[in-house]
Amino acid sequence: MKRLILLAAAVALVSPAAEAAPWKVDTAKSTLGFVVTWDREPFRASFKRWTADIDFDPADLAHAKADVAIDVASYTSEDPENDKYRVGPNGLDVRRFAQAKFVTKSFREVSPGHYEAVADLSIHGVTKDVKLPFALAINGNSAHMTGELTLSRIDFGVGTGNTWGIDWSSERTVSHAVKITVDLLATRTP
Amino acid sequence: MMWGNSRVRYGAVAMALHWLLAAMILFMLGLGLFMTRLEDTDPRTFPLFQLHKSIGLTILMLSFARLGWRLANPVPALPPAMGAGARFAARAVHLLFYVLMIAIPVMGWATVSSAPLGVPTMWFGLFEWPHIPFLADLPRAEKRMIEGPLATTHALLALSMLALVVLHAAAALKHQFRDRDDVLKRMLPWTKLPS
Repeated sequence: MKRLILLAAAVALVSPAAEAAPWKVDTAKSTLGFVVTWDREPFRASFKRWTADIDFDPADLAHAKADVAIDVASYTSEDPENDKYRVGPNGLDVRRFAQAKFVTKSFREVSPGHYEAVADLSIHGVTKDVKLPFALAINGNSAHMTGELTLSRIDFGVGTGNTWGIDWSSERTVSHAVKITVDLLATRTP
Repeated sequence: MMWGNSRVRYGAVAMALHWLLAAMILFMLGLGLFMTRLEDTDPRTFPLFQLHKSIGLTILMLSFARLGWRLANPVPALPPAMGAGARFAARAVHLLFYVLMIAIPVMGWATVSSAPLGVPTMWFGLFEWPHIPFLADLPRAEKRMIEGPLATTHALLALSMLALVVLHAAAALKHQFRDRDDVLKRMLPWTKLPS
């Protein structure tokens, strides 16, 4: 009986860890990027440096969490000249706001293989509640997740100034809508 | 003082345009060399480029006005002592000035119009100066390819202008101090000329 109690205690101690389902994201094979309309054309960029701390078990969404930290200055597109706009105060102002964060608060299943995460997204020093719908395919120990969400740069105070009569908050050069795209490949951590 | 040119000297309008454009062109050569050596991320870069574009487009408009004035007015005669070679050189330099005064801003305007950045040009922050449509309408991938060569052409023409300014100023000083004729005085306001 005593041994059984001990065993139960041991299980109880171990079980929170056993419930956790951490995943290791292969950042080299994953992409985290965004698309805006820049001067009437799509402008695609992707972040080169970011980390994702993911704990996700479809059977236990209550304990699922994802914590993503992005080095904002690390994005590149096909136009190096345009990329420099991440630095200035009329762009992402990366000298002051070097990091963007995406921290989930809850998950829900929309349909099999399709979920929605509610998260705090912090960009440019502004934190907003966002919903990220995503598709997830788990195959043994590997997972492929894809999702996108569209936000307005104005909500995060990005490009709201005025230089030399150029009103950056207009959509003349860069659209308000920013589509964030996520495509992750991860493996289950043993 | 006369507004128009005579056969002896330049009038007030020609002189004003000459010295105003001379000052603007010299300033622009310095500004162009300075601003292109700044880091793109330097906070001074963007306003200085906007200033350069605003002055450049002003130079373009003033150069057209000056060309019109030049064509509508007599050109003061060169001193009789000048030989055929010197006369040809003087006219050729003047012609080249007109070519460059128009070509350099046009190439600058073309560079701006084909920039993948696609930001508007605000003339001294007052109103939007349009881009050259057929360049601004190109897909960004094509702009990426042509912007560099256009900017290089603009810069090389500007350096030719610098060489021409040196030549022109040296010639004016030669006329004034070696030949001791009235060539420089014809373009200087408030000078007495034997008429």
